[in-house]
Amino acid sequence: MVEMRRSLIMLLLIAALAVYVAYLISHSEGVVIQQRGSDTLLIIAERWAYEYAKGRSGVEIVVGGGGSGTGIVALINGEVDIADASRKMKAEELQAAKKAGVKPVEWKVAIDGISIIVNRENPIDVVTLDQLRGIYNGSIRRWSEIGGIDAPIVVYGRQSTSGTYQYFRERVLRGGDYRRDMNQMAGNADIVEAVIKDPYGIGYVGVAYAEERADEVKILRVKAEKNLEAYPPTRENIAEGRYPLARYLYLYTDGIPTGAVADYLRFILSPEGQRIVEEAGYIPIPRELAEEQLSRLGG
Amino acid sequence: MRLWKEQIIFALISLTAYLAIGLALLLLIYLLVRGLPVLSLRFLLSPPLGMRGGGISTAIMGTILLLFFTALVSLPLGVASAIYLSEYTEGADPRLLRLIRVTINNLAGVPSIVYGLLGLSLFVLTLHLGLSIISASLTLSILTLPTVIAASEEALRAVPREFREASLALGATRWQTIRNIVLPSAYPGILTACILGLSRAAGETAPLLMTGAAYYIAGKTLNILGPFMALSTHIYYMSTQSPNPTLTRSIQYGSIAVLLLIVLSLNLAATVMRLRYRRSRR
Amino acid sequence: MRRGEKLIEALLLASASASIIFFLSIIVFLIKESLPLFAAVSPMRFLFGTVWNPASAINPRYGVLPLLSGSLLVVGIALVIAIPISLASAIYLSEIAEGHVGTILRGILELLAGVPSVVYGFIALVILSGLLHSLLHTTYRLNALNGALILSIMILPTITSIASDAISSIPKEFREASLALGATRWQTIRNIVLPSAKRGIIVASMLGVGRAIGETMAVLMATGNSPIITLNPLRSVETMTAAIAIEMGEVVYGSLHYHALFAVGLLLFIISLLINLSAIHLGYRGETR
Repeated sequence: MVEMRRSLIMLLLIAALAVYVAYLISHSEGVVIQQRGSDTLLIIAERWAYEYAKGRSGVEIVVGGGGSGTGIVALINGEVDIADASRKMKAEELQAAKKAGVKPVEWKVAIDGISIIVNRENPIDVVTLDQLRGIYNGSIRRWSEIGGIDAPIVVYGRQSTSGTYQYFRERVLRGGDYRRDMNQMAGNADIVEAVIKDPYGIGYVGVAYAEERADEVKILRVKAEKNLEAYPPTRENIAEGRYPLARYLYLYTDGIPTGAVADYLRFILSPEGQRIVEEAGYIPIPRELAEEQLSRLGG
Repeated sequence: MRLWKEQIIFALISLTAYLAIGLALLLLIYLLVRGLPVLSLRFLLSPPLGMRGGGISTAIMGTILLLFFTALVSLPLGVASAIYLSEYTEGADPRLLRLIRVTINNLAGVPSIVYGLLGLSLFVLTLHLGLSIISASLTLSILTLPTVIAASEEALRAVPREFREASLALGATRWQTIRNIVLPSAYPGILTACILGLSRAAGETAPLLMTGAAYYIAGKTLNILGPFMALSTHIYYMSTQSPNPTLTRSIQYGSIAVLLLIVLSLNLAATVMRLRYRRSRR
Repeated sequence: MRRGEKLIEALLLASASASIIFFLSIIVFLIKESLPLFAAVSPMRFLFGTVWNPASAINPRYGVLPLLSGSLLVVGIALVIAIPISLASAIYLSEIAEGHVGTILRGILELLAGVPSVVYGFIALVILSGLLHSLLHTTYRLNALNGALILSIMILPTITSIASDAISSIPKEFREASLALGATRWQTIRNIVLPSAKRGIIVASMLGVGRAIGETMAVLMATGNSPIITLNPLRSVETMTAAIAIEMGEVVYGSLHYHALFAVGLLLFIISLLINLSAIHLGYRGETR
């Protein structure tokens, strides 16, 4: 009998919790903004989301990674409001969007360079784009081939849906395939972590990720051509186009957004949003470009 | 001579057992030693600050909601199945009973990632429940079902036959007997079963990655039809995908400590209850 | 009243049958979602293809062999480590341990069995890989051996408790007869108890294999995930489970890559089903304790 009473109490507790949950659900009138995609943008996106939601009650921003391709597909499928991308949309993606009745609008929100990192113990300081291509397509397999120690090169890269993976393939591999035994890491941070610990490792990551741990890895200077000068991925070098591995980072929305999403975008393009870009280790877009995009948003 | 050799063999076997179990236990203790000092009310009750600081309230809330909805489906279904399998064997088709049993056994052996695939295909996409707490909870419900059924059935079977016979002899119907005699005396065992099922659900990670776990959510408004953060996935994302995993180790150890405390205390409660229950039966 | 009884019985039967429905829906959805892959890539090229590169822009390849070999390598090493140790622990628990020690150790085993796999994965990623690196100077910090070690720790409780149950269930008379004939305790264990418990021990090991091959998080965080075919335990490998878990977060739903991951899931499902059915065939009666 005691036990029956106990189970009755349990039932009541469960019922109370159910009522509470139902209450929460019925009272969550908040706005949910979903944003997914580029892992490179994640480091900024999570700061935007946090700062934006902090000042406003009833706003929920869901931030997800997975890679630029993942975000764009999610936008086309109507699963998210904003796709984060570290590359422009591809022709077939635009076509798929058109077929689904989605009108992707592009927003440039930050500038990023790609840092080439090696272990601190590695004597190499400079690399050319040609050497990088060899290392990543497998025609260069030992450090001694580019003037380093006599040891195998262990190659770290991103997984295939990453915009960085694709940008790097276009820009460095000229569209060719990566060597098959490249360690495909799920995130930029994974690559940095691996290279910090791997004396023979090399990896490519968004500048912010390398910057974040600059005292634990070596960031190489990169030459576009053999006989040109080598530049480190500093802000000035990237902003002024001297560093050869740099690109815009984009957000895509379905049409010109209104309401909450528009408000969030205005925040991102505002001086405050761009200050967050800088804090996260990336390069803010020029103010005129931000203003021009803001005027497209209206309001 | 022979005895001397035998002593060595026994010593080696004992040493292996102690080393193996001790080492695994040591790892757990190490995690708790690193994690427990991180825990504070602030850490537990404040939301994450990006993926670089703050607390873990959003993840704790997610895990609680997941467990709640999982329990809502899995426990009634599991206990009902167990009642049928243990109390309605007379008159039921033995082939059907055997089929159900083998199926449950096989379900228990299905890898959790496969449940994730089912959840994605069935709940997220086919039923349009989306990447959400609901999709994930339904997936977890199916995943925990075999555990709940097996343990509840054991509890029901432990009730002596004579109890049932006495009740039936007094003119009670089958269901009256179950409700008034069998269930009350199997109650602690059934509760144990439910706790075991939930503890399994609390630690699951892989199926959540496919059915709605989000990397980060700012300003949670408790939308059960939307993505969520959970403790288990938070540990995974924090330690592999966040901008600087080594800087946030303390948050990771803290999340692990909370998850371990939840899972281990559930398990411990179940074990203690089962032992006490078994003793009282004897 | 009678109608109420019937209704309740029907409801209970429906609940019990739900398991069958869930099991069938796993099969149906796995097959349904795999078929589009097999329409484009023949099952032979899937099963025996040696390249897993489903995201290549130029030449996507859907050979599952690298993932299968990754799984087998990691699980194989894990078993070589875990089975002898588990067997020794099981013998200790059921034949040697006296009084409370055995109860306490069993309790600890149950606790260990309940630790979430993501926690084991974290141990492998953060603690174990560092230890391995300083011991063996590994080129690949995350490698098959790292995954195998953490897996062996994970399956130890499973194999130990089932094997020890099997050993304990050997009737006392067997032992007494042997001892009465002048055999020592160890001779009795080796010649009488272990052979009689052979079936149970095999079942325990098989369930260990089943658990190991389906394990996702611990392996995913431990092995480095490069889809290559190798027998070198110090190389990074990718298992079937890891490929599904990582890549499903990134695929286009409905793409060939998405369907390929379901095909990998189907293969994994078939493998673990076969293991489970053989365990049942050998007398395994479910996870009731």
